[in-house]
Amino acid sequence: MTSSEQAVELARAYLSRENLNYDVAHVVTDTSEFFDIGRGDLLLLPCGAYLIRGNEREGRFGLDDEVKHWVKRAVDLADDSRKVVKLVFHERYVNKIGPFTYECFRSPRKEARILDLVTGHPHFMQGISVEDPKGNNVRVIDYVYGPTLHHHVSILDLDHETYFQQALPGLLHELRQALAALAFLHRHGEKHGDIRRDHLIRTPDERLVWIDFDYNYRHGERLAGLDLVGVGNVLTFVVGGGDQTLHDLRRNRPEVFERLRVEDMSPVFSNRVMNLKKLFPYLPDRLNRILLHFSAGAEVFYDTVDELLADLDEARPDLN
Amino acid sequence: MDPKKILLAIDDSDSALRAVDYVARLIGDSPGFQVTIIHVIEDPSEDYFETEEQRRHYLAGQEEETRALLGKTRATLEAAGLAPERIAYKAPVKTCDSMAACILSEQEDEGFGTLVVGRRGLSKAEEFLFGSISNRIIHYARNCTVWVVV
Repeated sequence: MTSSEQAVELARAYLSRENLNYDVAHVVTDTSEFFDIGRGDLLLLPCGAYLIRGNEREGRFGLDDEVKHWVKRAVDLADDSRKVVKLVFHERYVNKIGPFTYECFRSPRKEARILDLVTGHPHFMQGISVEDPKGNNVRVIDYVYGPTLHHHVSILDLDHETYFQQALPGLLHELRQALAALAFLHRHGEKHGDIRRDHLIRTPDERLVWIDFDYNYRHGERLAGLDLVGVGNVLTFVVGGGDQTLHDLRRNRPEVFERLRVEDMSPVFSNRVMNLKKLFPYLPDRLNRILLHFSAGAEVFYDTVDELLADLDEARPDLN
Repeated sequence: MDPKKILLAIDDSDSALRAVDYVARLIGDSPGFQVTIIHVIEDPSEDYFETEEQRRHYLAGQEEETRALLGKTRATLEAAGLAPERIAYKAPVKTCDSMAACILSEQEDEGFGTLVVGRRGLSKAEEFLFGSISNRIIHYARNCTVWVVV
């Protein structure tokens, strides 16, 4: 283990190399008071020494919003690699999805457990968890470089038919791999807990990687229920090349808007169109049928991600 | 399987109360019936609690509520004429994937010929999000009759 003095030296060398005009502030081993840990602090853990560079932000869908004081941007002084250091923060609250509510909670233990489970898996963020001297779980996570799936799709700037022909086949291939990774989690009795298109990072080697799985929820009879709702949202976002909402359609495509029925919409988010074939008639039936399993008109919902993957595999030959 | 050996699955919902009333009125003091009331105590994931102490405290509270619920159900059945020795309790702490799986496991292990549950009447969206105990039971039950009280 690096001594405190050695770590301070390494940190100062790093700051100098990077032309950063601040000095090492405090050497920290006890992470209980995460609000007090900030830029310039040096975190000494059993797995290494980390220079804290600031707090992460929520950054939902590309918008900078609340600071996550328990999540630190950091540098591993052993190799200058960028890390995300997540400290213990328990919270429990009632979340809202459409008109429904459910109890949600953040669990460091869950994320640590999944990090162990997915070690070496190419479609999950990688990291380790250790305990500080006070028994606090600290997760040291490799930073995943790349845009979010949301950002990647949003900046493509193609009309939908071109997007469908040129971008969608490849994207669906990438998404299929990420969904297979999610199915792997479910088979091990775990859930991601917060499936969103900005919790998938597209790496430079064109892999979609799941991040941030410290959320959990009380799942009732369907362990994967809320994960599957998220999957439906991600899938329709990808197939639609963006969100397709009633609001936009009423304004931009009133003739399509008039033809939509309640059963074409999400049963959970009543303004979100799931039957995308009504908007884009060239979508293959087999692909659209997958989306219909997430619609209010569905007779049967998917019970597992594996069921969806089987349908997706049948539908993919219909794409270019 | 003996159809007069009944597993009555309850929780604190109105639909469960209706199921209890139904069984009480249907069986009353008819001979040969044995009713086991089951209430599965939900054990949230370990992640739900910050400490093991919190979990123990939560489960103790659940067990107390369950005792009250089982007592009330027993009283309803006895009032309808079912002899006390023909009523049994079970209150397992959930260790399986779902409530339905726990109930079905009891049904299968103990050879209950009839399984009775209430149905809350969830919307399609609620069923999509959270699932339905009665639907899962209907779907997965084997070698027994299922009564669903709506």
